[in-house]
Amino acid sequence: MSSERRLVIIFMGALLALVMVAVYLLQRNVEVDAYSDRMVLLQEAGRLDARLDEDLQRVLSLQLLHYDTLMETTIALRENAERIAGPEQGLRGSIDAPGFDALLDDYQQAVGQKIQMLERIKSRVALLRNSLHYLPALLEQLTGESSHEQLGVEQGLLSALLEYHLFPGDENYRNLLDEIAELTLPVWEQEKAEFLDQVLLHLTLSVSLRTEIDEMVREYRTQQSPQLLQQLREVFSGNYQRQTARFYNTSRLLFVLLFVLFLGMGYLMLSLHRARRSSEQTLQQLHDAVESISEPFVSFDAGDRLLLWNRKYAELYPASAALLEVGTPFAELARLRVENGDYPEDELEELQLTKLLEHHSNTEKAEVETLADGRHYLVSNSRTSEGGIASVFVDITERLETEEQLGIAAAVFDTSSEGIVVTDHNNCILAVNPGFTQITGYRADEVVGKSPNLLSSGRHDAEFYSEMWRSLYDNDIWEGEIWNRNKFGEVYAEWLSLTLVRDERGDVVQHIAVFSDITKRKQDEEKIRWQANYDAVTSLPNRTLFTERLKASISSSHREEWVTALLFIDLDHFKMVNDTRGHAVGDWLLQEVAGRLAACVREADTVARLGGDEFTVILQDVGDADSAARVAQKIVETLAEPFFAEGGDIYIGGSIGITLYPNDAWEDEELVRNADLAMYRAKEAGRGRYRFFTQSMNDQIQARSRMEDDMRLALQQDEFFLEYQPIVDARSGEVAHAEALVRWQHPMRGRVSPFDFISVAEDSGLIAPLGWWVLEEACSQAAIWHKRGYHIGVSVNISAKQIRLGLNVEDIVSLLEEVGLPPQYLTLEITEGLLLEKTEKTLRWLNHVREMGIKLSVDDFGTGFSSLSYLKRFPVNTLKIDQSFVRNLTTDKEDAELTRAIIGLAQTFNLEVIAEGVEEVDQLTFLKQNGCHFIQGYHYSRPLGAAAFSDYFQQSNQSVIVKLDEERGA
Amino acid sequence: MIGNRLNYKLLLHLARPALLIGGALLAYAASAQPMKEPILPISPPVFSSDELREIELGRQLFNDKRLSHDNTISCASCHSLDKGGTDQRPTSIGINGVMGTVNAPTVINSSLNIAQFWDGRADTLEQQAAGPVHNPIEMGSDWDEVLGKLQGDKEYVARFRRLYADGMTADNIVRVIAQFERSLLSVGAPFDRYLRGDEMAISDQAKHGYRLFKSYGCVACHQGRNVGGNMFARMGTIGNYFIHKPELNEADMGRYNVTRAEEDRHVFKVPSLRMVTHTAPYFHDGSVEKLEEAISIMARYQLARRMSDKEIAAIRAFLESLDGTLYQVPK
Repeated sequence: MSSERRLVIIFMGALLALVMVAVYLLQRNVEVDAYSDRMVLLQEAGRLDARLDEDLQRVLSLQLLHYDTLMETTIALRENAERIAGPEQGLRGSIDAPGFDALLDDYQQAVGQKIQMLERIKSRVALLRNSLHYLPALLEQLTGESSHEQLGVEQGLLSALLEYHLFPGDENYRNLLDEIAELTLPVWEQEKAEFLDQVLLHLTLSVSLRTEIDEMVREYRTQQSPQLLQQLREVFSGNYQRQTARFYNTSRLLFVLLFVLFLGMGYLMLSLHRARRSSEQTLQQLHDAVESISEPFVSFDAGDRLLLWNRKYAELYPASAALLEVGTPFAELARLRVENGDYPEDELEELQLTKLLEHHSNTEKAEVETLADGRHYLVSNSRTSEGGIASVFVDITERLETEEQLGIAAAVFDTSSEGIVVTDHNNCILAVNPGFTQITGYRADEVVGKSPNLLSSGRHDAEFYSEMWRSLYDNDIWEGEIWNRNKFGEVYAEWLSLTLVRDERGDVVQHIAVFSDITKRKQDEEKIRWQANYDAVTSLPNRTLFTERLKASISSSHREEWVTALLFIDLDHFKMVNDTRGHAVGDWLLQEVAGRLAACVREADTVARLGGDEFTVILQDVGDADSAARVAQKIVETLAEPFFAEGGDIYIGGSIGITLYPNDAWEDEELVRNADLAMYRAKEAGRGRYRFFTQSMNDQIQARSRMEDDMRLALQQDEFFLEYQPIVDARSGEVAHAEALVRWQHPMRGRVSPFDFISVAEDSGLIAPLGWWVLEEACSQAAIWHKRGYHIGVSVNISAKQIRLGLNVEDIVSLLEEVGLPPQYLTLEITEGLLLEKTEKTLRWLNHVREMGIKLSVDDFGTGFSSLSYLKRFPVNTLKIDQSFVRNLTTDKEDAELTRAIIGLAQTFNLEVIAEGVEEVDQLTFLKQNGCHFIQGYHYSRPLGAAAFSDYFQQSNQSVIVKLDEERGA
Repeated sequence: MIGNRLNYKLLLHLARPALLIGGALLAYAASAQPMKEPILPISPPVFSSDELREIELGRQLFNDKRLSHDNTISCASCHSLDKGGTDQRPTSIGINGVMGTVNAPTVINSSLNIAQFWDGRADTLEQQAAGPVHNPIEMGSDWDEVLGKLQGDKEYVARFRRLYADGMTADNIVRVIAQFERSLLSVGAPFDRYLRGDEMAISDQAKHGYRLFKSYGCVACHQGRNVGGNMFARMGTIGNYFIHKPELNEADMGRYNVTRAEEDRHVFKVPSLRMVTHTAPYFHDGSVEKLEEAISIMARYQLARRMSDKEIAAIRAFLESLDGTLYQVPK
């Protein structure tokens, strides 16, 4: 019904538009208004022209007292003629008729002539009036005291004059001349000659004026202005009538056309009669309806001027509501609203205005307008039948907000990597998201309308699914892991969340399934598990798995009463390969080794890598020691074979320690320790061989263990003490420095060699408390000396193990502050080995030490893989030449060269250099000659107790002591 | 037809309506004679608010010297309202001190004239206002120059914009000046009060002067509200006024300059006598200093009459009573 009505309205509108366009086009040609305006002008001209003629008559009547009314006519006529002849409101160029403009010129000229003639007549008449008025008075003066006869003459004259003026003809003119001739003055009244002259003057003047006026009136009357006006009117109106006739013909044709059209519409109209009636009703109630529209409504006419609106619309723009007025152009309204702040404040007001105008002119587009109160309106514009615009404003603030939320939801739906499936109450798929496609491979068009069963992998039985549905309908939600099959037939695991959507009645309307592919997660778990148990480089079991396997082996061996062997393999020279050929080659080598090891053992045996170059092999149920030895020999041989690497063959080798269960030990840890120890023995024995764990090795372990116990006790009972070996400046012979050396006096063992107990301390971790005790002791002693005025530094050996165990630089600094020793008097001696570690952590530690002002020296320099690079990298102050070089300095040419090189190196890097173990003069001489001035060794002194050191210092450093004494004395 | 013995006055009275045409016009002519007096009073004008705005703007432009080429001359320079709307010089002085050829006529009551200038060459006040701007010896400027200067005045531009859609243009400038000039009316003259019935408004001498003014025939030309200004007449109707002038210039030709018709030689617009006591010197050439002399010359050359000093004094008294005060535009 409503669409029908709309159809009719549209159709009517179209017709109306057609008619309007036709009429408009015709009107444009005819210009009725312009025509009537001009006709009014012409009529006015005729009227004024006639009035001018009347005015002339009034002038000629000699009765006009003043010319003001005449003047008005003249001015009006002048203006009218001017306007008629003008191009704009006038007729000039208004019609396309030949000679029309010339006619206008003629008319204008005629009017001008008339006015000019009238003006001339006006002035003549003024004079004539004066003469005629003056004559009787003059005559009276002339004849005032004269006889009756005289009077007769005078009367005759005046009569003749009047007669002439009334009926100007030759006869009357002659009569008048006769009367004038008779006018003579008696001799006795010659004194009045002057008056006579005057009379004659005015008489002749009036006559000549009379003649002149007659002439002018004739000329005035020759002006053809009314005729010209009539012609103008005829030509103009004729032209108009022709145009009108054309217009009427066209209109008639159009109306016939329209009539036919309307006839054709008849049937349609009839059937839509009811709709039209209601539409008419609507039309009648339009205003009320518009007012009652709950949405703001406005319409503009074709010229974009305000036409119709309701109260709601006015309320939209509260700041400029008062400005609403029919006919206000939209641009004006928009400008005022922008100015009055009906729109949100915007720096670019002009821009906003432009936008508003642009949008208004583009009626096809519905636009969103945001007003000052922050509400959003959807403005739906439509063209009205007369070409205007009707707009309805719908408050879409809430809708926008909802849309925004929906947009977010849609974005989540579209972008979620999780698959989302929505099904109806029959479990038919309604929608799936791209995530679904990503996981399952099915596009939306392939699955919509189908059951999600198509994904079923067949891995779960019917019971599983019925349980799932039951749980879902009970709890409205179900979650779980499920195996499905994708489009390509691949089975994958997914984590599935099912949710029910119920309507108000509680009936299920939709199911929503959200799932993620957890196949990868499962793989990841696998990978993590693998990484936890296997070595990344060689893919062999790592320490963890190895330990597990070993334990398993032990338990099964125990059960089965098997003999099981554990082989501990350490590669020889692997570190060098790593250092010289790089880690990539190192890793490659490890993989090769792993391959060769695996080739040497049975399938059931375990080959593991514990880290670095340490491998283990578990030979389960090996039978006897010989079998284990055969395998070990095989491994030794295979590792001795060259490895063909890029950039040159590599020769390494392996040292193997073997231990047997249950012969050597029953516990896994013990077995590992045994094998390790045996491996060390093999290395000590010259590498590239295997050794069985023996009882003596066990004894050695026991001994170390006992020593460990003794050391713990010794730390408690202060069995450790320090000795200080002077470091002397060979140039002056004075003591420059002291190296603190730890000593242990055991009540039972006697003096224990540091060589023995330090390694035990390092292995057991006792090095941390012991090392700290040494630091405390040495620093306190140095502080005492310092206070005494002996400005000598003290060196303390620091083990790499100590640093690894957490020796804190801050603690050392606190210690120095506590005892009162400036940090530059403490030197920490580290080994080359520590530098070789090259770890960031070590570097940071060393740098920290240096930042605190504590000095660093490298002990036993030259024994390790010293290189220039680490001297550059590490912030050391001092190098100590190892005593092994010094010992053979005078006999071994190579050692001499090396020593010289070390000294040169130190000089290059601006480092101090100290030679250790100097015992002979020759050695001293050599060192001094080559620029090494700091000497430590028996040549000067063995290590001394603190008191003995003080004595030695006083002897060597006489000058210092004297100076100190002087200071004390003073 | 009419007897010789008929009384002349009676004859004249009878003949008057039928003097030139038939009896058909008699009735009309009689009815078209409502005014008893040839001189009419001037009533205060009524203006709309838009017109008042135009007048106010016109007043400023009337006094604005930027209308002249060198910014020295305004309309008011030659038409000072303090001097009866004239400059009280024989002929006016334009830019660069150049002397003009005619006596500046009064601007007061000029809207009541049939045309403007002595020779009536301008039909309207608008046409007149544009004249001096372009006259090289008066303001010596042109519209491009004037507009160029006035565009710089924001106040003007804004006020023109308020009045006219096309803002400040040459046409609109002359329009407001003309509008202002339409407001320049002399009102409340004693004689006007007399005309309205206040017998005491003017002196007996003035009343006598008015009677003489009528009986001598001065009133034949100097009539209407403006006491002149609504017609043209030859200077020297009876005697040749110009015969005594040693040299004639173009201005002396009068309306001949407009129509090029021999009979318009020395024809001028009849000047208004409304402000006559203030507008000395007199005549188009400003050749006469004294009003009495001007009256005497007029009687002689226009009327071929001779007036006594007493009569002249009486006419003068009458002329003085024509003097009104300038209409004050309501603010």
